[in-house]
Amino acid sequence: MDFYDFVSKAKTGAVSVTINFWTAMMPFEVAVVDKIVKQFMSEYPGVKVRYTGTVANMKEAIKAGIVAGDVENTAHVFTWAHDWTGEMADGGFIVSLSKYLPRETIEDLRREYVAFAYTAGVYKLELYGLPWAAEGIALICNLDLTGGVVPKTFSQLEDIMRKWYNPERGTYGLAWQIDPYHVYPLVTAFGGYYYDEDRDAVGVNSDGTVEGFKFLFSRVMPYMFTKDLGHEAQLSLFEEGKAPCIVTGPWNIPRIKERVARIAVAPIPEIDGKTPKPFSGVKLLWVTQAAEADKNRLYASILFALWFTLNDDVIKTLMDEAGFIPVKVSMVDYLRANAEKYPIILGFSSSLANSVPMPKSVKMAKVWGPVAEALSSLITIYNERGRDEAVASVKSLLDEAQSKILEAFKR
Amino acid sequence: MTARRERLLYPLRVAFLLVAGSVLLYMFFTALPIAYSIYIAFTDATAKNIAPGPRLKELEETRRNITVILESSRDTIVEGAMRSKILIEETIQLLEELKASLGNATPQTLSLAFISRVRGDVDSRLLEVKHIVKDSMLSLDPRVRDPLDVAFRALDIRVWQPLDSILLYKIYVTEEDLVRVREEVVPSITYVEEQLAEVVKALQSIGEDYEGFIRSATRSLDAEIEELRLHFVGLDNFRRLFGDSRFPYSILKTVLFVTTSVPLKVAAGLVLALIFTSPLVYGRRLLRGLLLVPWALPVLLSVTTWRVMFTPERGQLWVTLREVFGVNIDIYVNEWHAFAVYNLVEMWLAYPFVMTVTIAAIAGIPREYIEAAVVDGARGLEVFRSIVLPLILRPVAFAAILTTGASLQAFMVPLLINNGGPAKSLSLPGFPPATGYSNEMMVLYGYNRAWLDQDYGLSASAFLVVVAILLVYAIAWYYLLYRRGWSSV
Repeated sequence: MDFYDFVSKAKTGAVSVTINFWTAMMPFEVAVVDKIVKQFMSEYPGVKVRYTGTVANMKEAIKAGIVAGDVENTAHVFTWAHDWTGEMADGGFIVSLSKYLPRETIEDLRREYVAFAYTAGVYKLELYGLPWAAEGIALICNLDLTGGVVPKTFSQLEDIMRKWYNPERGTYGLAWQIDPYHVYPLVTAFGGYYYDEDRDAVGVNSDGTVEGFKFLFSRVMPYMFTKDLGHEAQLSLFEEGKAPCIVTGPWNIPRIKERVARIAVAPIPEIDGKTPKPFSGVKLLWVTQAAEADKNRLYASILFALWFTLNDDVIKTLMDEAGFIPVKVSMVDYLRANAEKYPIILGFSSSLANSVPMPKSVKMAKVWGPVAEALSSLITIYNERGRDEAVASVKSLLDEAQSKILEAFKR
Repeated sequence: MTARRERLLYPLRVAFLLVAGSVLLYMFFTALPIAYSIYIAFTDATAKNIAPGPRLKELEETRRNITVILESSRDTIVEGAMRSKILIEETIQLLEELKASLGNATPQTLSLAFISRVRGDVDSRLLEVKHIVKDSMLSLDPRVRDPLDVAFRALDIRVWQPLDSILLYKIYVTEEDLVRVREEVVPSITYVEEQLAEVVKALQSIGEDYEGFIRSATRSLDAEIEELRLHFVGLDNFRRLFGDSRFPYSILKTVLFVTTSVPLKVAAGLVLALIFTSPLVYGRRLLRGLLLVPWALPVLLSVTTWRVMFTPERGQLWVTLREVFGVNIDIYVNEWHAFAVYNLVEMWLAYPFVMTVTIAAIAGIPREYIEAAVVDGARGLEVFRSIVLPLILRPVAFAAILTTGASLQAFMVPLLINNGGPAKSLSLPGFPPATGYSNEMMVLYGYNRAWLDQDYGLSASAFLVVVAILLVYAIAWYYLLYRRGWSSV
């Protein structure tokens, strides 16, 4: 029996398979996905999907289940951003779909998703994951505070920041959680990077990265509340109307909408004609090795993954009810055609158009730590000794981070 | 007679069963995990190799038969290589044409149909190459696989996608769009061509030097297998731990934390116990109950609450401290402010324990002693110093020992307050300076190496050092308590 036989049998209920589907999502997302899972089961009565919405420590749980050979109770399908691909594929925890789907199907699939989303699922020439949404950060402005303006260039943003920066009154020019992930757009704007997978090169102390960090400390931080650059504090500033704009991702939209009446989402403004490119994460559905032992279960898992990522109704539900940004070509077109109905999703979508996919390689785990240390250390210097000292220390701290990373790569 | 009865009551086989059972349980629940974590401290464990997945077996299987497989299908592979080479050379040619067309076009002459035709031709050729490479096992050779993989990705993301976004949804194309295409897309096409040229070179060499191909494939398999295997590295992790100032600084900071937090905790517990056992305080039983609240609350909740209260500019306590005392407490910026807050929170968490022990001890003092002292003319302070204090010293010392252990293992408090921050350049005499988190206590250091850096080997070795320090501490107390006769105080 091949895959297509199985599909027709699943539709009529001639087979009976149970698969486990795991996610690690927020409660409002779980509710939406739960509805979608039920819809799938009513369309394919032969497949029962046991859905677990908030799995703690999901990656470790899946790995442990597979290593222990517990195929009944481990995820057969799960979803997360594509940066897990390298680790999961290198270990053999996820299944290459190229192994089981006909060549033509794989080629058709390539045309169904936007390019960056499809390539996010490909690793060492094999298709592992099917994309259903993307995420990345963008500039979000409170239109009541910016006078309806959404800055397109950094100098426009700077005007707004200058006007709003008044620590005496507790107002600031911009809210921005500062960590290696969130400041990456500034790094890329100047041509820098942390780790280039294609060339296996570390660029933490490259000229572009150094320039980007210097720009952060000399031109952005002076308008910010720098004593607490964490997620909660910065988001609160924006929610309470104490900062006109924030740089953040779609995951904060539900919270922001509760407090801020009129918002607009746009790409992070250009800096003297240079485009800041944030990291993008593509949410993929993967089939695990636990599904491989039983052919029916494997096919059921692949079917579910295909249906979930290719069904326009599903993607629309995910857009409408949970604010996910679609990556299926037909739905991106739909989004553009209904621009006035989806201003927020469209804003994130256009920010993603200029994004850099997060590296898939396990090596990235060795990059985050040293960069975070250098950045935090610069923040400490900025707060204690001022802007000039921080700018002057950028190069040497990034040099140190670079050598720490290279050292770790050698092991 | 008695021996027989004992044998009847406690048959030998039951005894053996119990002994065997407990030894097994001990091995399984205690000895094995301890031995394993000690072992990990001497390995290069990471998330990748600590529990290798099914792929390791597959790779080892392939590795065993690689020479035979590759030798036996030599003809197919070489043929595949030649066929792929031709297809890629055609692709490079097509890309050259595309570049030329984009370079020469004006908004009037740019043909979207031409671009889309070239794209179709390029894609179909490369897809065929991909399948040949996979089916004929050419993908085992990283000289072929890696540049091809890069070329695929670069073509999709850096060529087709920007072309789409610049040209696809336009009613008419402007000169500006063309400039963007020439600046962004044309160099990426060149990049793809370079990668493909690498593939061509590798494919060419496979035809000429088949043994070289086998060697390269074998080497790559070996490297991949090595990455998935756990290796014994001797004392390497410990050399790394003490190779710069971070971990030594962490140890010193922890010891400092013990010397500041333990007196605070004990003093607070003692004072509160004395106040709330005094018959002069009305409703002391109820108040004592209420004072135990910090003990009853989940640490996660209470420490997070403290963090919120100390949030700069917004936290209740932060605002109060500034308004009343004019101080700004910056837990995310200032090393010692954060340290002071740790002490405060640790004191708050631990005083109920010290207080309870002390209250129990005070309750155990016979009233006659105090009454006799008062009759003899002793005053309040004298009664406390000469009667109460000596009688409660032992239990209080016991509580202090236990709570010192808690401070040595400080984890939740620094983690939840500011994850051991702020970061700065740390330096200690005798160790090279390094950037790190200034309040990363020992246990948190080990945790962060595992969860942030996924460096399990280093993490395990850090914890082994922590255990050694705790052991020294425990032995010291044992010696002081039992050998030096403190127990007779």
